[in-house]
Amino acid sequence: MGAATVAIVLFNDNQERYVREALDGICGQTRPADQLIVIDDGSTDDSVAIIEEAAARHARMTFLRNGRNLGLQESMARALPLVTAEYLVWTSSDHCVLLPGFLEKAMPPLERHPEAGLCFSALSVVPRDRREAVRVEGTPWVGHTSDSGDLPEYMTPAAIRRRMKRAYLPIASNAVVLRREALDAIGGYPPELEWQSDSFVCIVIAHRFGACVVPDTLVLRRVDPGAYSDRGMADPARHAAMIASLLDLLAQPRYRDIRRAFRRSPGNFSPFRTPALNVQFHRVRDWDLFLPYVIWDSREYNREQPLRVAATVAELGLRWRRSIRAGLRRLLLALGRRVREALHSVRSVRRTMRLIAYALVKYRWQRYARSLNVVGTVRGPVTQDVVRSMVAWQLVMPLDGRLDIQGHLCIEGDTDQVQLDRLLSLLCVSGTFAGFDIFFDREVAVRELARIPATPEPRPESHWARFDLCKPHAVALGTEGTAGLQRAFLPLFDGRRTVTSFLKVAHPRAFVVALSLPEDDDGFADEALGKWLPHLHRFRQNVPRVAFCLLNRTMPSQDRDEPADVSPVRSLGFGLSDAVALAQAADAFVGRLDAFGLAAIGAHRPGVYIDPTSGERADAGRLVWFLADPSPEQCLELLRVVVRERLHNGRRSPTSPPVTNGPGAA
Amino acid sequence: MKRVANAVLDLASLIRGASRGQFVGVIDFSYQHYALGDLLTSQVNLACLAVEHGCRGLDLYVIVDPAAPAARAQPFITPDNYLTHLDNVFPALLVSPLLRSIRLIRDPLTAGLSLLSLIASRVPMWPPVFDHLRRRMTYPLDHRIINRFHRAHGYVPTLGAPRGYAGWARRFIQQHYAGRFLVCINPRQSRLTHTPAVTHRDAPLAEWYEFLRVVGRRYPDVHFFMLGGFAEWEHTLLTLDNVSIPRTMGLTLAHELALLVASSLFMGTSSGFATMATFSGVPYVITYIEPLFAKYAGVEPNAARYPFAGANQYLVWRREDARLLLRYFQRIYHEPGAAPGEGPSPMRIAPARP
Repeated sequence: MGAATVAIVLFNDNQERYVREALDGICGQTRPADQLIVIDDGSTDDSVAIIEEAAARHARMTFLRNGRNLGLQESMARALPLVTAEYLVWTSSDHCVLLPGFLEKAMPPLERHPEAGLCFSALSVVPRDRREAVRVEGTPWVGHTSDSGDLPEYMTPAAIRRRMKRAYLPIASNAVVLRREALDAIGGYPPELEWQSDSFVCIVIAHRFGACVVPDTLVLRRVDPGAYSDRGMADPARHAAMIASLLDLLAQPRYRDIRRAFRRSPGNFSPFRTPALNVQFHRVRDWDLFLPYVIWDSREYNREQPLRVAATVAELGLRWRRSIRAGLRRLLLALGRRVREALHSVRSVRRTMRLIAYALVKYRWQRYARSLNVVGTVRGPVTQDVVRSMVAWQLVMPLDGRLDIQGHLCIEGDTDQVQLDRLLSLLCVSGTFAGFDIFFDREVAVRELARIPATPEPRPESHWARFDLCKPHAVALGTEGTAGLQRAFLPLFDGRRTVTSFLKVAHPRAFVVALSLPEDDDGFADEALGKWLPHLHRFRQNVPRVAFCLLNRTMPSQDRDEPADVSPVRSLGFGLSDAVALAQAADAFVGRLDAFGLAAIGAHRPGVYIDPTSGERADAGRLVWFLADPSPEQCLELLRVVVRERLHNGRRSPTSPPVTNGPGAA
Repeated sequence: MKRVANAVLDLASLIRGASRGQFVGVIDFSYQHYALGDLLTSQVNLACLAVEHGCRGLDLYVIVDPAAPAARAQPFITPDNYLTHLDNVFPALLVSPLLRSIRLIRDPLTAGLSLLSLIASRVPMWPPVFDHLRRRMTYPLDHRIINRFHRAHGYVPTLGAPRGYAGWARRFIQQHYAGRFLVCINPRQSRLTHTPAVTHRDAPLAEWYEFLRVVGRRYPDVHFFMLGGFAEWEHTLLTLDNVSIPRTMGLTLAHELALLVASSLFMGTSSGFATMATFSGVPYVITYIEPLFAKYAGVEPNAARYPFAGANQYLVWRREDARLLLRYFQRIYHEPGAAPGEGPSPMRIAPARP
């Protein structure tokens, strides 16, 4: 069997100061690497020139240069596909220097144990601006966790787990040779972990594939606050976000074994330092990790700084009285925060209990005839007739106030043809529905509707239980119909206020006639308005005290002359619910028996209602006419009668229905 | 006994009946805000999380308790007027390409049963259950989830025109504004509304008028749509021939969002419409962003663009003036790829433009 191939990838980001040393490290290996890749992340200092000089000297070196600073993860994503070797060393110029014997000593164990996922060596650190290295295992307090002297050449996954229970495994990600297959098997470097992604990958690979150990120092790790990882950890928010991302990853099913390993070997969290405790504490679902880590951390802290109570107190008291006061204040603040959190938690528990209680009560209601499900379908554009059908549908529903009516609106066919704004506005002003759903997906609608229990089930002949809003429906306007209309159009305070203010300012002392004309598919009434305008003009010449307010949409006033005889209220900021309120409040109504017409008739407005779906009839006493297809002249002739009766005979129009309930009563 | 057992089993099956394949967004207005920008950011958060969970559809549970319809931060929304506010913002819930259903729940009992069903069925939801129970939502909504998604996948889900309005916008533009370079504008004017808030973020209108007049003189093919509530503009705009105001046609927020997606450019102060532009792939210039927002957006103050933004999507951190607006307008107008508004692209989840 031939020797395994290995690639070294060096990452550089404005490290002019260290890059030459790092290049010497990777090029000066006593066992040369088969592939050398250097990637520069848009450096603006002289490091690029240094790398280019090195690349010119070493033919095996591939130099990649990012046009701008893309970050470590993007650079990794760019460089890794170029690696063809079986083993990989990922290092960076700001952090590490490979000693000449690195590959010579690290590769033979891997060749002897091809099942191993990685090989790591003892960790030595070079403090900032110093050249001599310090072995971590010789450092007081942390040495016992990092000692690799007693480790065998190959540690199986089980051995790794056993060791980690006892002490922290000092895998420095920049001092590691990774098996490429193992890296691919775990899905590569998770980008959300930023500077910790390589450490995390090492832990995962070691746990799943085992690791080879070289007890000698093969790599020098530099401590420098300008390094990428140190910069990240120096930013508390970024550091906390990264830890939260790690916890999110550990919550995923594919990392279940690693979560277990972190739980059993909480020392794995120690590179994240104290912020890890803070983040874990605030995520209740991660308390299974928090508790072991807090115990581990306390034990380590105690080992590091044995507690000498009397001496410590005396010293603090004498030297740091101010600090003690500040500390106490911080302690009290922290306690206050904890108490607030606890209160929050108590409230959460209370809310949970309330939620369960509500669910049970609702379930009981549904079981005992309090809830009724009705389904409306829309298949095409929401025209004036569809909007009217929405009101007509509510009129035929039972008026039993004890029933909760749950409306379900199914959008079928091409959902891009269905503009819901007017239906939503009507649903908002409706007091019929306790709640409603909108389904854009037939499959979801069928499934969800099948599992909603409701009794009594509507009888099969109850056509309102499944209502096609796109079909024309006649409107029954008996006593029940009028009551249904009052339920379908709740009095909205906002709309009423808008209408009142408008009429007082725009049409004081006028006889106000609400006008609703046929609309096109997009809801604009410009075409019909063009036909009506000359007739309205003539009418106003004879009866100047009448003011017409058009309730439909029209195109902007910049594009044509403002119609002098009509106030297009929708162009003046009226929404659909405001226009409904105007239909209810006007002195008379003329136009289609659409949603506005129904609102007007529900409010007992006199006038002319055009309804092609039902027969012609008149109620002269109430000054109401229903006509199938009248001309504008006919309509205005009848309106003249209304005006004469209501205005010239001294009988003012009846007052608007009193506002009895707020919409909150819905 | 048997009846009780049956009832318990029945309840259990009902509670555990929620579909595992769904992703649920809970918009509970008792602690979330009736605010366009927040709702749109929520939609993008939901889309990111749904994609990450491998869910194909998004179901929105909109919970409004008529007795307590709004968060403490919006005391002007009361049981007597919440329906108006709900009606106003509802179209913002229709912009997600993954949307499958919306449920408006107006009584706490139904909300309780629905949420319990979701929790028991372990359906993934946002906000997470514990955050929801604690009524915890930090405002302004940050871009943490979105940036994380972008780092992992290289794109962010884009928002489309509200469901049902893409075709309308296409027809409307072809009918009335064919061949025009359409620019949607939204100079924030909270001081003109019923409930003024944070008025120091309002735009200098005089500078905008100057900008609109200059563009009107030099670029006759350019037409502007002024977006925003009916109260949020001055009558001066009605005198400008190159400006149309959708609200004066009786159109609603749904139509405005569809026009924004279909337009060639958005220019405006940092606000809800700016959020729509941010996540819809339209070229944009967003002005006067508060430096405080930088940390929530995950960018440095004075950053030229968001991490997921395209080349012609600009952030401006200082208060705009006519020259600045004109400079950015010209930069985008003269770009080779700049084209007249021809209607929105179909709704999709797609990579942001490089």
